[in-house]
Amino acid sequence: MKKLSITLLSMIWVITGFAQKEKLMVGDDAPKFEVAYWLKGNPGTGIEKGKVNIVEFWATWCAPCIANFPHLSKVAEEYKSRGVNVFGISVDERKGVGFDSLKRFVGGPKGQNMHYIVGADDTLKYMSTYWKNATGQRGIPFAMIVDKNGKIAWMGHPILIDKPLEQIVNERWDLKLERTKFIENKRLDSIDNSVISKFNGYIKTKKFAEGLLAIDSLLNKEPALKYREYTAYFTTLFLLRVNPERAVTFARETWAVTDIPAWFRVSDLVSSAIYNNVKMPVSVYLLGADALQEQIDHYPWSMDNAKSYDELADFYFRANEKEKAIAAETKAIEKAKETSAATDEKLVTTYTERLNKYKSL
Amino acid sequence: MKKLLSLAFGLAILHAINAQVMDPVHWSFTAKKINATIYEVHLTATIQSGWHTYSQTTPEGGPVPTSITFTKNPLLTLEGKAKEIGKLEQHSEPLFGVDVKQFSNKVDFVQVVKLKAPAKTNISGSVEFMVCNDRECLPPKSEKFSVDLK
Repeated sequence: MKKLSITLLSMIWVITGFAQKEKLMVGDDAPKFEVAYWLKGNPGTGIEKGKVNIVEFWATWCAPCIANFPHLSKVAEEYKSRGVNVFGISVDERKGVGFDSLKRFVGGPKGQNMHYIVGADDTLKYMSTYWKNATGQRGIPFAMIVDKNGKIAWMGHPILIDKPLEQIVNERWDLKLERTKFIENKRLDSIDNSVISKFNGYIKTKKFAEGLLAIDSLLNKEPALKYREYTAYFTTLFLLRVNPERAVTFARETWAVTDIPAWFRVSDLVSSAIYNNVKMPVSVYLLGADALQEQIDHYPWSMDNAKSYDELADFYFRANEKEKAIAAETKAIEKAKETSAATDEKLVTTYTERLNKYKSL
Repeated sequence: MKKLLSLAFGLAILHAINAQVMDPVHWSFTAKKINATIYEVHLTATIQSGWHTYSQTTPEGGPVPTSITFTKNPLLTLEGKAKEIGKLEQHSEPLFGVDVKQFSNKVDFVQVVKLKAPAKTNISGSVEFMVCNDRECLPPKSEKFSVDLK
């Protein structure tokens, strides 16, 4: 009993001590690598110095993680001969999901897409605590690259791993510079998050032009914020009310320079304008349609597809694109028929009525 | 017009974003007195634009369902399970091989509670939930609540 309480005390000490420690960053030494057990592939001695190692975090309940299995497998395949190890580590599984069910998952249809080494954190929670969470990251999928010297060279969404990986493998990755960039990025993200409550105020008072001026003065100090998620969102929102054509140009510029554009924010803004009966030029509805289409193409798992296609049809209808409206509404009906929900029968009727309306125009 | 109304909660207030960026769900817990012994306990999730949380009836093999646990209280009984008031979005998801049943914007979990005799008491417990947006999911998290019944 005494022994147990000492262990407990030292655990608490470790955990609280850890909480006060700086977050794990690019350029830091990779922590010790330890999983509860392996599920697939030959892990050898785990992450090895002299090799480049990718450590990716996933869970069975995470659709965006499962969606990325084929991409990660392609990366593993391509870089196998160039000394790159890829480890997919299951973390934060629900209670009761242990070795047996994970083994089943990895051996099942989804696991067939995992062509790399797979391990699990299970209740050990070592990797989620000392790797993922230690960086300040909560969400998954999340990946980290450890370079040949055992340093964390990159971390981020695995969908963005190709470019940095190529440079790290070729030893064209300036770790010092990347660390500086990483810190600067975090700083900008934190300012970008902090603008939210301020700019929400301009929405509530409907002072859109003043909101734009406030963004201008922010950008004078921090020009790098221009296309960052929330700053760009509020810029688009304010512009839509002040100068819709400029909003369209700005939104498209943002998509062009952003790694993972937040298309849904733009389509939401267009829906919102429609909902609030704000008349918009055709270009805005086309922007909304493009945003929604990108969203459907990239993230089908995150969408209510029937509803999205129905909304897409509405955007096209408002943009005077009759044929496209018909095509989208037809898709909406198709998707509504696919689901097993009883409510969708009603939807099929509603969508069919709308389709007939578009056809009759 | 009906369509516009069905678009979503939240759109009416022109998309102010929740300032708690890393907490896409804001919970509020309230009780509504129906009569001397019957109350409705509302566990209301306000979900940031772009995020989803999942129905209690989410089948195994998909996202982690929302689950509500009430602390035992000898003064009261729970009448059935919590109802979900919100716009359920359901689609069959090839990534999981099961249907995904999700909520966006807002969902209200309503539990009817019956007091054995009129009295002042409270109901407490926790709600476990997870959220995803297009790109990522946040691991299941548990939120504690305690609501006075008076």
